[in-house]
Amino acid sequence: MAARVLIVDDAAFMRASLKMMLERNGFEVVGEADNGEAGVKKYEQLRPDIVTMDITMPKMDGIKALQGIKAIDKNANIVVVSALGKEDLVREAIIHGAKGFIVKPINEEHLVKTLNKIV
Amino acid sequence: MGNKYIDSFTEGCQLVLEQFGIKTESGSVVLRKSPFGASATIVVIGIVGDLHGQCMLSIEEDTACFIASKMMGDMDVVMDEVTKSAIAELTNMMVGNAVTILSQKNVMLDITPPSVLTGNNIHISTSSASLSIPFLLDGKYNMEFCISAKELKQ
Repeated sequence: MAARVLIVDDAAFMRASLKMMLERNGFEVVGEADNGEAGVKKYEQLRPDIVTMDITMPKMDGIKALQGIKAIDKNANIVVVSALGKEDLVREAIIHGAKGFIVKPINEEHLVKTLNKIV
Repeated sequence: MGNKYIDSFTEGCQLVLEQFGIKTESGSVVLRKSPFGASATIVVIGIVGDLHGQCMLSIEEDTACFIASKMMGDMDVVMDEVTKSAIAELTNMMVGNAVTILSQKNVMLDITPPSVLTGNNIHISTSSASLSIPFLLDGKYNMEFCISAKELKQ
């Protein structure tokens, strides 16, 4: 059965690109959210196998959304996909429970390998 | 602003554009006094931390469509909301990569989500003069990346 993915990113272009990459590699995209707050709500409704999480977003950033999702489900699989690759940010994401960190622009092969390791 | 900022933003822009298969040549940095005229499409990202101000990408419609097409695997594109979203994300990636490079030089910055402005005869007013880095893409398309920021840490 295909792994079910929730995409959280404020950029419509990124959501479309991620969806295309994931679907052509056998993942099922079950939902999308354009900010962290909506991402937490969608997680609660959909209970996906994996979440791809942007960091810089309006309303609620990716780190706060990561914490919100972990409060609902401590076993949630969240991979951060961000344009920012600063060491302190990677460390913060990992401390809060992210299982992977991908820096944009996305390398499709790296994305698929990272997600396949998790599910 | 010192050369380390200019070099890092230039490198950030080139790294991202080249990953989308776009050849880049950067020109000499120009000082732009406020207010200054910009192209028809502008993407603005705020920067806070050791620098405080904005980064701006200024491009005409043909350059926006060329870049968006490259980002979408050479698809035919027109100037619509998807193209604007692609250009906003490109700017986010370029600034994000520059911020990562600067963090390795002990300059700590954070960024805001991008805003896209489109129109004719746009003039930008900033609280400080802007440094503009011109780029030529694939030997044909012009792109201007501006930084208008004050240094808060020496």
